[in-house]
Amino acid sequence: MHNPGYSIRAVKLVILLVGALVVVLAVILDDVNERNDWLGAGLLLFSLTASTYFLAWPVSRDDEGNWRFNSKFVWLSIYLIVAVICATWLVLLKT
Amino acid sequence: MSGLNKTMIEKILKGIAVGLALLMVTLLVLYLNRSDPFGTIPGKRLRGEEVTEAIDDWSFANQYRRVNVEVRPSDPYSVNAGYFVHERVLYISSSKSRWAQFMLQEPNVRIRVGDKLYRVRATRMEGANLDEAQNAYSDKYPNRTPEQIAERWFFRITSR
Repeated sequence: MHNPGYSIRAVKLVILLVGALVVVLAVILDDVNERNDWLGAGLLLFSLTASTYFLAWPVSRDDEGNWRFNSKFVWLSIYLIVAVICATWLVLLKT
Repeated sequence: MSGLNKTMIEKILKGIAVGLALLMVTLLVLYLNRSDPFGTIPGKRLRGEEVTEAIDDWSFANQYRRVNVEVRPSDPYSVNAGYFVHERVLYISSSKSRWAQFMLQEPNVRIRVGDKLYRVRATRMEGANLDEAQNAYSDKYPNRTPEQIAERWFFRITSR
């Protein structure tokens, strides 16, 4: 029986790996420098996809109804910050 | 894909996130404490041994790939700049960028060639002097179109 959740997870993993591959190839071919737009694009793709693994609100209620900090939000924030930096970097490179 | 695999991916992603976070903090600290410009990122006050004697022949600058220019003495702002030497005179060219506008407002700047710093005055070229500078620039960068060259500002550098 077809499981849509499985397909989505598989697609996410493929996109994640493509992003990682682009980062690795960009570093091998053009080293780490601020003009390496493929590095920025690969990191942006990777970060955005990785952030989807940690989608969460900053706080949520526990079983007893108390507000608790959601540790997943830390990981989400890191990846979103990296994604914003990469997007800004790419925009600056193109202007 | 099993639940275990998803957990493994999340663990790996958490490890990478820690690495990225450490990298961001390191870059932030380096950026806030920067002195010299790095690539297209402007720096602050340039470091180096300051040369006080006047320079009449800048030909020695040709051995270096780039020069650093420190503008706005009140709050030093330094960049990597394109340059060329024509008839022993040093010229700096720039698009109409922020630092070039600072240089127009306050032409007394410092430049670093190699590891030495020089107190200089930057004079924007106009009229016949501009034509001469543009021609010299065109000789050094033949792939630049006349339109690109016309959009640039050229500054003659003299010791002060």
